[in-house]
Amino acid sequence: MLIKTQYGVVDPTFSGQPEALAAALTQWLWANPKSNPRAANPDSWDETGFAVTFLDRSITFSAVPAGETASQKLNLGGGKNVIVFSRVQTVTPTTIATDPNTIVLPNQLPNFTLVQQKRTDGLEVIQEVPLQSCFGWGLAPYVLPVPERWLGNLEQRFVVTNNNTYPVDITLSWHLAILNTGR
Amino acid sequence: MASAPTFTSPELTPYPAPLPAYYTNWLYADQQGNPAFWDRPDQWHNAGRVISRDQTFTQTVTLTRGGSKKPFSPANTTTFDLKIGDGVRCLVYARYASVGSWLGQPQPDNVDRAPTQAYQNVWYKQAVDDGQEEVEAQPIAGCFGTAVAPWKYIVPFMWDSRLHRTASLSIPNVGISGTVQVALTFKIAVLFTGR
Repeated sequence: MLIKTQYGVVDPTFSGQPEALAAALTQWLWANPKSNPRAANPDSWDETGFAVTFLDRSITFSAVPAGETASQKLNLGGGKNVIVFSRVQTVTPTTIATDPNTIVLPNQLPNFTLVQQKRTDGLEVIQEVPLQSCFGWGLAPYVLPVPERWLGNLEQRFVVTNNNTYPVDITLSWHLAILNTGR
Repeated sequence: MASAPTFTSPELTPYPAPLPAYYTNWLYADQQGNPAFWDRPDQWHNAGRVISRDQTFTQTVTLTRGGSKKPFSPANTTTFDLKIGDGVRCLVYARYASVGSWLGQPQPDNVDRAPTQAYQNVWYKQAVDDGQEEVEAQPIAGCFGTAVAPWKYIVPFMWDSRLHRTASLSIPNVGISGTVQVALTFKIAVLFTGR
């Protein structure tokens, strides 16, 4: 049920975006050979039964000691192109000695936790900044002003620094669209 | 397969075209959800109407003092079937969560506690049986909201109820033993045919 527009076909999932952007997002997923075995044959896309679906992908840094830095590489789509719509974080003490109800609020520790995002080609996507300033949480996700197209085979490196006074677990999560081909 | 719909559900019109038609087709062309008219779009205006529901899954999760600090170890995990839509296709708009009393705590329940205070202690993950992880492991603070600020999909998610999904809740890292009730709510739209 792809729609033909002057900019190219548009997947209905993206029809809330301006037409040119919707077409670009559609191309990003449907014309990617790693995602779609019929990428080179747009006329057949409607026959495939493939559909854009949404996933929440996450990485966790476990037990980052106070004052220490940790890093992880991430490939959100496992090689496939994806589109990122929003991102959230949680920071929790690794060890909770007492009643969990008395522990911090969800947005309390990210203020003392820094994050940096760097592509493996060197581009610094997020310069080092407290998580509070660039990731949201469940009640108020940080929704990107324009959905971001992440290239499937480009890894991103995330570096976190724990400036709290005790070890924390840090989870970063992205809400993204991917072409679901059932494979 | 049903032909293109001529009827659009009024409840689905707030979305930009062609999503209303797309969503109408998703709900009305479902043989399980619309057994009388699923293959007769010319009769869809007689098939019922789209209603919204808040479907809640309440689970009890065990806390073990001195237990594993890793989420989703067997002792601190509850896994359940996530049967949103009860077997018929639906649209999922939003998800929100409530974490109940932490039994075993020394002070009375609900004293000086913000609604979201325990959110980051409860981990969640959701997967389809074919292996697709729809929500990778993370605290519910990241992927659920509350009624005043629900976690919303960018556009309503077309939930295929024929796919078997499981969800897991886990509470690691706590210093007390007991149980906690966690209620996960999904705001959905379904076709109501009166059956």
